[in-house]
Amino acid sequence: MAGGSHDLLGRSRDGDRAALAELVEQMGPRLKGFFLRLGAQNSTAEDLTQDVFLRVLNSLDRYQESGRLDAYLLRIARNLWIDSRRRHRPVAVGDAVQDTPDELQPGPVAAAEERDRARLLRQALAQCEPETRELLELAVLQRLPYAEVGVILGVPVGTVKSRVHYALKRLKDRISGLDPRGGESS
Amino acid sequence: MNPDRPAPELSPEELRQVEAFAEELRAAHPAPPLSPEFSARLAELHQPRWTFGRALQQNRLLRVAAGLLVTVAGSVPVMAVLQLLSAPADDQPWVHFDPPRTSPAVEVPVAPELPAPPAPADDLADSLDESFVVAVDRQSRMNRASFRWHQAYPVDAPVPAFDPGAGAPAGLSAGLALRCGLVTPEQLSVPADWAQSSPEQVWLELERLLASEHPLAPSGPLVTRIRQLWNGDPSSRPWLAGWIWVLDGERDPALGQLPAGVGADLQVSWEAADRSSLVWPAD
Repeated sequence: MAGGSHDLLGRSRDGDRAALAELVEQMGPRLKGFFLRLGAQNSTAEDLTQDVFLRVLNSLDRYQESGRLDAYLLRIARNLWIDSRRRHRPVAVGDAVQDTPDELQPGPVAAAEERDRARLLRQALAQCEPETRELLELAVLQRLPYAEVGVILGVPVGTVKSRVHYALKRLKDRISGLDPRGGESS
Repeated sequence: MNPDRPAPELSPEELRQVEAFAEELRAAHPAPPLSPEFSARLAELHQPRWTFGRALQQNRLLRVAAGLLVTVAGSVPVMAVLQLLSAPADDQPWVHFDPPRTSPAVEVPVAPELPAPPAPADDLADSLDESFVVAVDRQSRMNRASFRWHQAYPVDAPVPAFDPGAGAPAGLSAGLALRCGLVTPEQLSVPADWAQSSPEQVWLELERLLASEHPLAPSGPLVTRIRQLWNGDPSSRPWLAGWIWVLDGERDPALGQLPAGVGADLQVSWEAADRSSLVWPAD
């Protein structure tokens, strides 16, 4: 993600529509999913995603090419989300699950069990504490390296690693208790 | 369970299960699509700002111009410092003055021998022109007569009474008018041709000159006419005696006398103001 990302950002900032479209295609859905899973409404998630892009394009000089672009964007997204929550009433947990588009759910050909399993996973993650949800969002769903997650959350890499391990373990245990299949996956 | 405690070492099987669960979790949370108008709205909101740095990056000509400007601006002080360091101190011009150690040879010009002036003549009159001496004598006598004339007939003197009907010519005569200050010498007319003038006119010219402030001795045609009249007609000598005294210094017996009853044509009344004896000074 880092390779050529600076050039992509630079061309987008200079008004290159194609570069901007490519940048949006790469990072837009990930950012929107980030906001949705943290509890934002669909429209709010898109507005915040747009704010992330505008802020990045207007402050490109502060971006260091050596870092990962997705980590940089997610750090900005997290700050925007925190600011947004300060200004607005917290959103009830679980809205993000309801806002998930149906077309992204497993298709009609998929097994009903698999569909139920996915819904169960989303519900379990949504019911986690905000800090845990944020941690798993960055480290697992967004696939950021632990070092980047540590920078974003302000904790050491080892702490990130152990927190991710135990969070996944707790989530897996919780799902195992809820899943009639007994928590077996894959 | 403390989430910050170190994560335990996992067996490969446990690690695989964790990775599988994480992958399952990711699969359950696909990235949601953006709305179709998202990109267009973002492009509309994002207006590229003009910055000098970005313009430098995009415009090669601007980079060249900026580089040239920086080079020129920076080369001035550098060249000045190099000039100061490279210029030897001996090359700096300085103004000095070397006084001459020996006195210049001055050639003193020798004064030429001037011719000695001739010795003054013993008799000054012998060295002067005789005509000049005559002219000076005439002018001297003219001045003396004029001085006496003005003493005898001051401007504020009372006008002597006369009777125009007692044998005297009617009205004031020109000479009497001069002596009484009723007319000025400049107001009297002078004959155009002295060769045709009468003795009375010659006499009146003498009166006019005596009355003037700068009486000049006569010369030329007037002198010639005076000589002619003096040598030709003895009866006219009373009119000319004054002139003869001025010209030659000879005091004629007729001086101070005017012919009685004459001068009517000139409207002269010599009897009314016969004070001529006061005019001619005694030598």
